[in-house]
Amino acid sequence: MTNLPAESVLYSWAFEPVPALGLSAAALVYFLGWRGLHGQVPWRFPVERLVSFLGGLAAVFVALASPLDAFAGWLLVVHMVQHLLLTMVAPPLLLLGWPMLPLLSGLPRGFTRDGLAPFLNSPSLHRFGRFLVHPLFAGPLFIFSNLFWHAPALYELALRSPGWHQVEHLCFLVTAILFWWPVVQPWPSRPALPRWVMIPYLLAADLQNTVLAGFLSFYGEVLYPAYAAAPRISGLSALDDQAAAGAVMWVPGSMVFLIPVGIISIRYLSPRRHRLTIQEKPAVRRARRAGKFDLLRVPVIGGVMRWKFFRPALQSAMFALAALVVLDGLFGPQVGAVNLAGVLPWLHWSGISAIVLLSVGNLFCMACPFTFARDLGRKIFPGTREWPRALRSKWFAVVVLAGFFWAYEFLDLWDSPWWTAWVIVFYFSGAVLVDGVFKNASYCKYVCPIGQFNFVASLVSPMEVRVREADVCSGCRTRDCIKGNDVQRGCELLLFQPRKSGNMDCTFCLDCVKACPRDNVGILAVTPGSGLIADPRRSSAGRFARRPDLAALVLVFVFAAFANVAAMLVPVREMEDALRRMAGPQVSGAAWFAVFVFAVVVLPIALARVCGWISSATTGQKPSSIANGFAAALVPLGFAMWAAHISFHIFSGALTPWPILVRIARDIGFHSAVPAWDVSVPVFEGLPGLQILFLGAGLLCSLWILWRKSLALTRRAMPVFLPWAVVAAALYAVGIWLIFQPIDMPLAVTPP
Amino acid sequence: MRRLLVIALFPAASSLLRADGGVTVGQIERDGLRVTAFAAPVPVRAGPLDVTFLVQEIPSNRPVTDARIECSVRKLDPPSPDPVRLPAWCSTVAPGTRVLATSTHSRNKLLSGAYLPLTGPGRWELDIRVARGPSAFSAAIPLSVAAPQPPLSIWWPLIAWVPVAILVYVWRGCLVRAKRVAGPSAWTVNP
Repeated sequence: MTNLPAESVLYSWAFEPVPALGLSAAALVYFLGWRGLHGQVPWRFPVERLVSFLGGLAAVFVALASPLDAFAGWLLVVHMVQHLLLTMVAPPLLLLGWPMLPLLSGLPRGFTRDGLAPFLNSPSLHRFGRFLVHPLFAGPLFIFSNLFWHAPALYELALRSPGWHQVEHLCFLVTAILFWWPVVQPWPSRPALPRWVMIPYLLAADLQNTVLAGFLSFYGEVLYPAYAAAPRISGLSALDDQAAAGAVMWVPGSMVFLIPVGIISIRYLSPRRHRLTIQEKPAVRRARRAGKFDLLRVPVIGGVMRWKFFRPALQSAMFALAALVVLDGLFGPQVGAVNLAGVLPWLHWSGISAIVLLSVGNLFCMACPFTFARDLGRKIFPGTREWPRALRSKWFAVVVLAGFFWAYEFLDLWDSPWWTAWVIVFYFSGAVLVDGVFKNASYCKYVCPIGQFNFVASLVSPMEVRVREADVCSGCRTRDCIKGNDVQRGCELLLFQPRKSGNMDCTFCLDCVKACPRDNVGILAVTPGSGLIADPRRSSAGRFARRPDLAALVLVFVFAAFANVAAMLVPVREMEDALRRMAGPQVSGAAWFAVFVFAVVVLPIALARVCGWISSATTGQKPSSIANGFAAALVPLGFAMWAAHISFHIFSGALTPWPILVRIARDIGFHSAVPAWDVSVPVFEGLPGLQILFLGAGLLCSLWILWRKSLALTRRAMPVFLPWAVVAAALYAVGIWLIFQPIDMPLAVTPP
Repeated sequence: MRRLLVIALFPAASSLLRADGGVTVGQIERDGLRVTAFAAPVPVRAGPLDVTFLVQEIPSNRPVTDARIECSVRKLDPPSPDPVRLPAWCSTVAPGTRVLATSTHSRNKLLSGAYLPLTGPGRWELDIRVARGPSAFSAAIPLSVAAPQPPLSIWWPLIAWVPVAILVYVWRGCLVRAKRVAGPSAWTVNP
């Protein structure tokens, strides 16, 4: 290997989403479970178990993402090391972590209880599991898998096809875990055969390993033609490479089998150790306080978020950014791709908002610059009037939100920095004006389209501002969370915490957190979407089933997700151009407006009505009530489509602000550097896969909510569920089709 | 002797050789350098072409990482009446545009690579220009491009997990009902 540029080799790591995210998730779940068990039964789950499990995951990651994988196609010896990690290092380490209970304990309790427990308690699945790890099955399977995949034709197949290569690795890992199971015998599983059987079991595997290794080492010809044809990047010839691979398989491979043989033999022949009795065991430590995850109780983060000036600091930063965007939009070059007003609001703000909505909650409203300006304006014009009774619903917001979507896509706001700047100015003026006249946060609650978007999307967020202990609130008479007190105002959106359910209308301002004298409000983890199953009487929002305006808002949010993507597609753009050429811009504009209104407003409301009518036939409830209540179940699917859409913008435009900032610095005379407009656009080949995964997750979440809502209405849930499921499946199919279409939006920045 | 064997085997086995960017589509030896070009998908199809290059010194075989490689594709057949539309993630360059191959593109950092647009099936040519220090040379590698693969046939595993998940949920429901019939006890998972 002396011939190789070491730096290039060592940097040949890959970010493979499946190993990176999958293994990180496994590590997190194990750690959460292990932490609880370590507190309860430390002698069973010492730190060594954690280290062992994490070491096993690290071995899998190194095998799949390190330079080992990058060079496995050129050097057999490297490929062999990769396989040894997958079959002889990772599996025993993973099993020595006794992973079953930590993994089960680390998962959300509801998912374990309702989702996994039926399978775990099934006697037939128990029997099947015991059969899989029985030495008489697992041993031969492991040997067969090793021999099978080392046959030249199959090895070549794996080298030629990335898909088959992954299947090969999966086979190695799974059969190895089954093989090592009876050897390690992770607690609380019970051995199927006496312990001494493991000695011939391991020796038989070693014999197979030795025969195969010897064959590779001493066979006089190159077994795998791909390695004969590979570029000779090292000093090894193809035959030397093959012999070295055999040696790696032989020596370290045999050691991995023989060391446990030695340990088992010594233990078996030694006099039995005195087992600890219950009394002798170390005292059981008090279990950690169980409860939901609370972001405000996380060290440092919680303290920072509760700091008096945290929100104003966030808002002022966003305000400064908004001012910069407005200035650049008004006075900078009028090309979307080279102006902050064409990039930051439409690409980065929407992308970051979606990420935080998916991972935490409605943090954009927390950092809202418009309410910052409003609060400043209130120093002069403190709103004293009540919001008009006739407008106390979401109907006005539905119109504004639909108009916002229309303007964005069909007036090409994203390509007009000047208009974008004026939209932002209009936003600021609206917030100051409305809340300068009317009391409370009327603008947020009844007008702001961005707020409405975030309110609806945050219905499926994993965190919620809510009370920690319901009992504490039952004795409260002051109701500071809504009324406020001398030092802190209460909730301006009139959300009374004990009766708040879900994130609708919650801006994450944390006023209630600071106002509560008993420190009983936190940002708690919830199962995403679970708040949409039941329909309690929510504070301020009431029951969703009685809110046609909320249902309309949700439906516009969902269907606009699909319409917005459709408007970016090449076929739609071509149709638009053709119509404009044929009928002129005015007729074409009117026609597209009609299509938009039909797709985003008329069609969804009509579909909801029809589904509600069909569903009501078996339940006897009002069709409108079912339509209103069930429409909210489509939010996960709609948000998934938004996430798929926005992920395209994130991956395509992540680096675009940098040359714009360089240009602005040059324009104002900071320096004379010429902006490098050809910022490398990160090309993510797996983007359609990620988008499909988003849509699939959204569909499943929507179907789950619909099914649970149907079950809550009647035992014969299928007729209630089916029409809604058909609508959800149709939207999913449309979403898949949209993902596969070409988009009329160049990713590269065009220099001015 | 072994080197001769390897060289003799190369033409026969080159289609089996994989790198980051798929299988070998050509090899050029000039000015003391050997450039091996790899392309994916296999077989090469209309759509985005993932092309990577390995540059080695002759005769030491030492990989070269400081060569500048530019590449482009050119259709030899007449243009298709209905060109293949590229997916959204790859609509960066038009055919004929010269693209710099970089090591950031490829996972194996001995390789330099880029995505190039193949807008239709037929005969194409991969034009490359290699420069190292003062010397530079150009070469062309013919490509035979097949019709594009329907996206569903590429991404079906990611779509199939949805019905699989639904089936697992239905199975869970069956298990719950069976348990209810067998006895009233609730599910428990006790550490």
